[in-house]
Amino acid sequence: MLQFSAPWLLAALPVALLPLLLYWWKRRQRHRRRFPSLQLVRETVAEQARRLRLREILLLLLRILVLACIVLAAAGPVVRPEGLLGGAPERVVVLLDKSLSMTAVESGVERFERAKSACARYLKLLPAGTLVDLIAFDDRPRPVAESAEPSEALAALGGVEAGLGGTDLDSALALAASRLDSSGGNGLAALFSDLPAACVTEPLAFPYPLLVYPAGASARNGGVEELGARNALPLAGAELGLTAEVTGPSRDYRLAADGEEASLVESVTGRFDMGLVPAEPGWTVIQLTAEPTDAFGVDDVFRLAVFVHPAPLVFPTGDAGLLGTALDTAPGLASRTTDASAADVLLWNAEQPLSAEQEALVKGRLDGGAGLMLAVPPEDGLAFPAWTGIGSAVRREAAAGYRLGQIPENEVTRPLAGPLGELTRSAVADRIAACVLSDEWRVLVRYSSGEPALAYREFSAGRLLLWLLPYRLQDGTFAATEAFPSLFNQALRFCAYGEAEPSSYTAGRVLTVPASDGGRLTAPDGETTVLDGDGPWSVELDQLGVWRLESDAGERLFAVNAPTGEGDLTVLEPGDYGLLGPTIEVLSTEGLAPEAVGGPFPLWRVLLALVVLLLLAELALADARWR
Amino acid sequence: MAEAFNPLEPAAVAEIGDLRLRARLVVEGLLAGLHRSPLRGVAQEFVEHRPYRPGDEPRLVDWRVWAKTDRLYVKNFRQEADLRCWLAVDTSASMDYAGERARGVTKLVYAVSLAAALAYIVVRQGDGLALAGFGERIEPYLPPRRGPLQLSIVLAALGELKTGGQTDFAALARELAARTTRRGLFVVISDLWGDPDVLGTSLAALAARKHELLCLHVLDPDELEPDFKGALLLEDAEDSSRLPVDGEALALRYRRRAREHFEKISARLRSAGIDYLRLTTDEPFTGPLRRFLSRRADLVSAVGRRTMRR
Repeated sequence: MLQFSAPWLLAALPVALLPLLLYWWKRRQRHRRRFPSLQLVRETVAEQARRLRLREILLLLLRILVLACIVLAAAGPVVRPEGLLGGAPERVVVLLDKSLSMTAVESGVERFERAKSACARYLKLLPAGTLVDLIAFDDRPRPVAESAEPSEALAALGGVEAGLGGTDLDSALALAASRLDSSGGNGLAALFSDLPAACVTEPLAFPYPLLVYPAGASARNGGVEELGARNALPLAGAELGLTAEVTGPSRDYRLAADGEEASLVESVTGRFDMGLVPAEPGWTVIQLTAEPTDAFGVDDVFRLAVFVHPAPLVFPTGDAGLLGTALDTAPGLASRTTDASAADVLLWNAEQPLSAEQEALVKGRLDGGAGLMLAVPPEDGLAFPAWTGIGSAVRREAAAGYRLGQIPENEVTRPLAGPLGELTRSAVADRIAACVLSDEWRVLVRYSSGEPALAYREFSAGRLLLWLLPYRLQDGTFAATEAFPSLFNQALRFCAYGEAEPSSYTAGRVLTVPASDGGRLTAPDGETTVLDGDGPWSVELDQLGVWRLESDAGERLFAVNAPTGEGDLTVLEPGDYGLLGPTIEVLSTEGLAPEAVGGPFPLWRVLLALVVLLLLAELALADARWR
Repeated sequence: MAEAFNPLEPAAVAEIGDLRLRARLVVEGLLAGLHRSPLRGVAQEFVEHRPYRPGDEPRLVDWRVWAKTDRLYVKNFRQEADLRCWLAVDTSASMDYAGERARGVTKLVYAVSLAAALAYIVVRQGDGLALAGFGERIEPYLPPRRGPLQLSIVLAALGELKTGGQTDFAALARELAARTTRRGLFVVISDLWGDPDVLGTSLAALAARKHELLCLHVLDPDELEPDFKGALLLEDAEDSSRLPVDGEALALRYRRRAREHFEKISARLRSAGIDYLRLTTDEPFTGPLRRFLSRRADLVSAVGRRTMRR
């Protein structure tokens, strides 16, 4: 679109007609001269009349053009890429991503701040009178300014902050499209986002021009490709094994958890192992920073959010009678809860109910925050053919949740993602842990192989039923191999969310607390909100971690996890943007700052060059030799 | 260094009010070194046959007589005894033009000086002198007479010449042909503006009547190399028509066209046996005219020698 930095100078354009006026004036002011005979003059003029006329017209045009170009150049014309201002659209919908992944810091600048700054510059470019809808979005679109002047939208932009939510680009675009529909189609949308992977699984169809300003960093110059936990179940006090896959040039790597540096690995390439020991249960963010060794690279940050579970209750290995033994020797249990990776299996025959004493003992441990583990021999896989009464017990009693043997294949079709997704994948090869949602917690005992198994029943505070498989599942059926990670992933989610619908409790979402549950809601950072008056109440889960709702009905815990696709802050590769589909114009695939993308083209320079050319042409044409 | 004064410069000559004195001054400079009258006609009359003598030019042998009599005779010629010279001076409006380079000397003034000088020569030779001013019509017309009185009359008439109208060469040729019964020498002094074909045809018609024609083409330097500049509205001196032109654009092409035009006239006249001399008003005519008359004198002399050998 053509714009002028000094449009008032265009009023001087009539000056370009000066040569025409001079021409007319000169014609009227011809010097009269007597000549003996015009006989030859007439013949000569007739001979050159056509050429002279053409030359006169050309000269006149050239001179008019020269003046017009000078005036136009003085007005400072610039051509902005079509769409940057979109040909002065009536309405511009600005979509600003405020999801969790936008909090990633790249080259010392938070993505969100970069996007916000670009957004502000963009709003300043919009001409007054443009209707601006500023919509911040994460899990859901949140209108910040509606049908506002660009200056008003700019003011409103200052109050927008990044949240913890996921990225629901579809909803944001749908809202943008509806806003643009109302403007009669004369508009466009500008998207400021890091385009997390969760948004690009399917090509997007957007019926209006859509500008995308990638707020992410530029393509990585090598760095962390993968960060995973080797441990199936991160436990407080136990070493959490980490595996990193790094590529590219030599870099220095810094591993940190909860802000404290955990280890330093220098200049490694390929897969390497690290470890750290989370001290406290709860959410911890493990960050691996790859610092470039050259001056041109950027920090590559990889974050992995891990929910560290409380130290488990570990029972000694033994035959069927060992449970009783273990429980009988309860005072000694504490000394055997040190190493989760060395967990043994507690054998318990489910058909033999625990005694009240035994149950009290287990309950007591669970109340203390412990978990239980169960080993399953590999030859059975998930088919569990050797399960006897234990299996049937599960089928009978786990009607409302996931049940072993009833996990539909391919139920989870999307790649594993989420804070523990990488952990899951890396753990499959070595040791797989699973938690199974059930109406009640069970302790299952398996007899067939002679190996002990554990069944546990929920008694009070315990919420986890974990399956720890010490062997690979490759000996099992294919279905088992495919299904188990899905099962495990969902089970882990359940671990995190603590409810049947894990996706309800992602950070940034709104928790609706029924009126019957009113009471006191405690956020992970300890801030307490009293829910009184008339419910239901809507609470935005704006912190990661476990939320506690205490009411007359009892205590409920909500483990609020990072949204899928947001916990993994891996920078998108430029090629990934191509997945967005044909209706999206990506102005840069290098993550450049928006102001560097499609900047205005100074047309006045071209005009000045044209003036020079026209003057040269005028000089050549005015030369007498052409006559 | 200041340019030496040349009394024969056109401007200087034009300053001399007395036309007789002007003519005399010019003629004395003109004839210095010429031993014979330069304006003698080159035409000859056949007188008789005489027997061939060794040494006679073969071209003088009359071969028809030889065929009839089987004897060799040569033809004897005699130069005409009394020359009648008509001075025809162009008085069209275009003659009243003086460019800057001519320093105020109009073509008419130049032509009058030239005519006066020639009149002086003719009268001094004792030949008959006639004058015809011609533009759209012949006026004045002084029939040929001899003697100093005729010179005075012609000079007076020349002094009274006024310009106006356009040149009609066809009418000139018709009028002169009607008024002259004997052969004579016609000296046409004109800027020769007009249709070159009409001009050539008209003067050639006179030449075809055994008249001898001398065409003195008088031009202002502007007519050869005009100094047109800027936007001009040119006005024709003869018909007062006007034409807007771009001076610089016109000048270049005009020069080339003028050269071609005048060369064409020159070639046309010479092909018709008419002597042609071009003169420009910024230069004295004495030099070119002297050389021109000198060549004529040599030609007359050669013919005369042949005649004397009889």
